[in-house]
Amino acid sequence: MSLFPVTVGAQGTGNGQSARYWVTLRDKAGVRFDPARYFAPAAQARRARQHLPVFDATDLPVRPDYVAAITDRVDTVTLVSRWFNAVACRATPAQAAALRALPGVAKVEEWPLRNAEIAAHHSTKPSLRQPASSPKPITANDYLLARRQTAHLDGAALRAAGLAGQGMRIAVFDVGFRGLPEHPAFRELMAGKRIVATHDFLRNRDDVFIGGSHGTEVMGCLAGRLPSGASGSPGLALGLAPDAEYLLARTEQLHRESYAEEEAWLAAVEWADRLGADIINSSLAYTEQRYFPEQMDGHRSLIARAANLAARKGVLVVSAAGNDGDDDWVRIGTPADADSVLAIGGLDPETGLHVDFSSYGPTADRRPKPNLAAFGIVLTTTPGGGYERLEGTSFASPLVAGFAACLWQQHRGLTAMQVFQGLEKSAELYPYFDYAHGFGRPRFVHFAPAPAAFSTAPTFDFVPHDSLVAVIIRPEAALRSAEMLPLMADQSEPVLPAATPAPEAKNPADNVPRVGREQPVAPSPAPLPEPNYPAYLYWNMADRRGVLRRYETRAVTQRLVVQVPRRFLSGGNVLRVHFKGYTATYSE
Amino acid sequence: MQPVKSNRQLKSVGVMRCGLVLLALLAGVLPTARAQQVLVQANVADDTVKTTFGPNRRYFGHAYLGYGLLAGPAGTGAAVRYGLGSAELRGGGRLKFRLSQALALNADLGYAYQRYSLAQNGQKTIPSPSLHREESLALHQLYSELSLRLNYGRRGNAVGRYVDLLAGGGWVAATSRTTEDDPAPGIGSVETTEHGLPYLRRWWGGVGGRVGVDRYALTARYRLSSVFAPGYAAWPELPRWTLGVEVGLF
Repeated sequence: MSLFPVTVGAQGTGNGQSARYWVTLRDKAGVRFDPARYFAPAAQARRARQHLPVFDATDLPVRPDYVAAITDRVDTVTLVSRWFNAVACRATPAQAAALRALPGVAKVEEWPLRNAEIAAHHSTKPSLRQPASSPKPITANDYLLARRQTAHLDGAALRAAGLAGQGMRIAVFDVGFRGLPEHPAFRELMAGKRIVATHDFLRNRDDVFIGGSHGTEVMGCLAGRLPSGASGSPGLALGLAPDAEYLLARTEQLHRESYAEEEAWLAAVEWADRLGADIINSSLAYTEQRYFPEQMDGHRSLIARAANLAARKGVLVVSAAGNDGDDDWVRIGTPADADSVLAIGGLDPETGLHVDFSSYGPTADRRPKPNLAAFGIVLTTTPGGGYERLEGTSFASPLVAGFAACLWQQHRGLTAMQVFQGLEKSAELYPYFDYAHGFGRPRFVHFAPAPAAFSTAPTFDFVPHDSLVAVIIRPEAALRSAEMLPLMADQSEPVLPAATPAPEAKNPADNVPRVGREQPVAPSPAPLPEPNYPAYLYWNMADRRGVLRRYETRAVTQRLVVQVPRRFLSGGNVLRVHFKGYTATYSE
Repeated sequence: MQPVKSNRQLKSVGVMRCGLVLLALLAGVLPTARAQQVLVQANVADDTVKTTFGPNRRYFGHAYLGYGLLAGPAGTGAAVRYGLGSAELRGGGRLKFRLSQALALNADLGYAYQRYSLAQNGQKTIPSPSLHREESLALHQLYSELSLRLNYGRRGNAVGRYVDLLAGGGWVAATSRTTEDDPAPGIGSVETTEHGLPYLRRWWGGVGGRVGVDRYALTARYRLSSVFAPGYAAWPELPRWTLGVEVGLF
């Protein structure tokens, strides 16, 4: 049984124009299935680790007699899906009517069109393609950004702990990976033969290094490196999982509205599951060509349902939230709307706050999204051997996928959903949440073997007045303690010795954990120049169902930061505030 | 290199600050409490409101530009030079009212410039048998069209694929006839323009169709009324068809 699109000759021609149909079958009775032969060893191991059954009903093949009967009656069968026990085909209305009469057919639906948007925004500078022989030089600012995009996600600590995605298998679905094999950023990846499988689900062949370059750019944020130094040492990693294994799937076409793309995504997710992918990164957002914002409920799109099914099979699906925050769509796209998909928003490296193009939550049914956030402006790899500063939540997603790979590598016994929840709980703002930042960036320190004490002391107080509730910063939290500036040193190596660990705070009175400054102490790696943002105050107001009604992030320039009319807090509304790692709520 | 959007927060800060001052005044904030700098702000109700205006919502409006070539047979004596010289350029606005996922009504208003480049041959009779190096009739028109839109294929908030059946009419606001003749030796050309031509009809009507995908469409229009005024009914007819393209500006 093939997962791949199957093209067969026309067996009959009905009247009318050919259209796409989705044929749902009734059962899988009597099919033979050998999971040991179907699943790659990595897939079997993943299920065993997560105490999942060796297979379930959705893994069983579609009944061949049903497929044969459909094939005999339609123009073309384009997909056979085990997970949905369905067949996608091209047929005339008369042929579709004939399909409905078949004994094994439960439902025949017209297959809706759709369009996918790459969740990349655009280059922050003109994308002048340079010949491979003379890639554009990397400016100092771009080099600094390259360091910060991983440092922001505790890249130094992960490297110090020896975590770079070793033994993890990450599937990347994208529009094409043009120029990846010859790019110097992936020399180690190619030399180590860590691209274990590729498939182009649109053309049904294995060459994915064609088409668009978006996949190459996304891969840069997972496994790319800057050029190596004169000593031959590996260049600075642009992502957090340079040592992971990769499955590359081409599922999208640029500038096309092809029906085949949605089927290709579904075929790719089944393929990735079969080959043992631990994580899927999908930097795609499906929006208004097929959907309305109010349909982003995680159930409407086939892609979202497929992603949820993948999560049930122990795969962590990471998706870009979308780049529609500054246009009419505003909301996240799909599959980021799916409940079990880790939706990643974008942050501005200059401020550490939501970057305006990053799509906002919630979902249409008011579930909180996005889940996490990372840099939405990055330095990454482009075809021709170059590096470019690009923006888009497409790149925030692989940064977090790489982070997740490292954590899962360290805690291999966790299930996908435990990793999902652990990432959320580790995040900088947790338990505070808003629809722009999610829970913020994930932090490694919460997963460290000896996590730092996080019994954060209060940093502010709610002071109710007659008609207002004021949020007042405590005097000790308003102080900014002395800091030791880190030595700027390249951190390609896993560990660089440091003379003395950088003290977190010298002022004993400042007992508030510096959430934005945490670095591992042992074995004393020199800290990278982590982005050093001022402490922002986040506040939101939620109704009794937990749905946010309003939220803000404010710069703190005085101790009285927020005053909220108490009448807004009637009816079960809750005011929640986060400052310097401390979150508290106020309700009446 | 500076990030393009490094100052993106500043614009919103000013707007948000105004809102905050207003909020503070409404809430009776003490004078000593200065406004804080709001860096990110969202009112979820505003972000999640269901709108009635959009490409596949109840109402949608947009401007468009169109260009078409005149086509079809002309009467004997009224032959035209087909090609870019005999063409129509139009621009207008369209209001779309959606009846269902598959059905919508459009109302268009716009301006069209139509030019007939008359063939200079021995059979020529309109507007006179005299021959010139170049001769053209130009019409400046204001038009209105109604069309029934048949959409097919499921889609989201997008215009999608459609077929329009349209009917409309217009008023010819201005007319002109331009002739270019061989001049006397030493002069490049002589161009003569006549305005307010009495033999061209002021009101016209026509039907047509449009096939489109999102902002791009192919159009075909057929003029039902004669291009010449009732007093000139015996004159041979100019081509009635216009085949062209339209690009929606949205």
